[in-house]
Amino acid sequence: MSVAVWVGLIALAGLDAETGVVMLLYLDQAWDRFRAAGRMNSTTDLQGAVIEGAVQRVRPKIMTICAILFGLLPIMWAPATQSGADVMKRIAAPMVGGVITSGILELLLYPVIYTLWRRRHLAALLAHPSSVAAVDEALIPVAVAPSYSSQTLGPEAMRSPIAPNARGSSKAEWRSPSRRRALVAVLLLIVAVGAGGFFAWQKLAGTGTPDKAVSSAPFATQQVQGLTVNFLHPKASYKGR
Amino acid sequence: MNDVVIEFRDTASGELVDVGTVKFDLDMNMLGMVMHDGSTIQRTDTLGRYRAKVEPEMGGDWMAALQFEGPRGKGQVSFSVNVKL
Repeated sequence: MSVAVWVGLIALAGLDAETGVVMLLYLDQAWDRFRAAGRMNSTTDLQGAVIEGAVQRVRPKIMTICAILFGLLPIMWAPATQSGADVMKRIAAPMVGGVITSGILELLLYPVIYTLWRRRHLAALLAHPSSVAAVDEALIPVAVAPSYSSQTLGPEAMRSPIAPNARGSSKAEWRSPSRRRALVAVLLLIVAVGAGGFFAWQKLAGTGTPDKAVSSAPFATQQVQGLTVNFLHPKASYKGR
Repeated sequence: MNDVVIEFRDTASGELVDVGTVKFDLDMNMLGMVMHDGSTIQRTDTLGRYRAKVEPEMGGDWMAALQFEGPRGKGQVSFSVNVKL
């Protein structure tokens, strides 16, 4: 790989780290909200918290991906002979492909990894609620912003330590047809953008440019020690065979 | 990866001639550093015709250096080539 490609990869890594940290922050805040409200009592609650945190990142992340794609695709469309285009295309190509992969990873895979990681904490929380509660008071800030679900349910429902209605309502909310349709639409959009980016990358960053210079004549001829040395492109040299 | 065919012909007769071992390198001279791109040379079915696999990392002016050693003696030649990617 050329130096320009490495520059593109480093820029991509920085972008992914930044947006990944923001996703982790949202997931942590959702976890804290659920615990402060006493709604973290099962794996289903954990999944609800992760979904609530992750869904808030769907629109910002897709907007980020679209902004980067719209900014970089003109570079990929630039003529190969334009000054600096050969370097800029090599910087942009890994970012175009990588930002799509980054979106898929952040929106689909990171929440799953977070859920698996938090399961261990949840098991400890459920096994020793009294000891963990003391730690909670020190760790969880007093003024935790109420979640969307807690605002919907109201303070009375949130006072219950178990809050079965809250959990049932939260599950029903996420299983509603409109939410599922929205989730499917987002997934389809991600797949469509990914497929479009892949095909654009294949078409625009492929190795088709050098072949345009094919000609039957040698592109260089040198004389040395009674010999004539011809340099040809293979297609040109084998055209008559 | 670009395949470049290098063929050696006798200047008087125009016939292809075998020159033995061939080495082909590309160098780009820049301020404070030299970018090097070595190539892999393979013989083809035709005597006197070789295939070099080169991969210039960027476009621009490169210095091409060709060396050979074999039945026709030892020789070398270098020239400038403009690479467009």
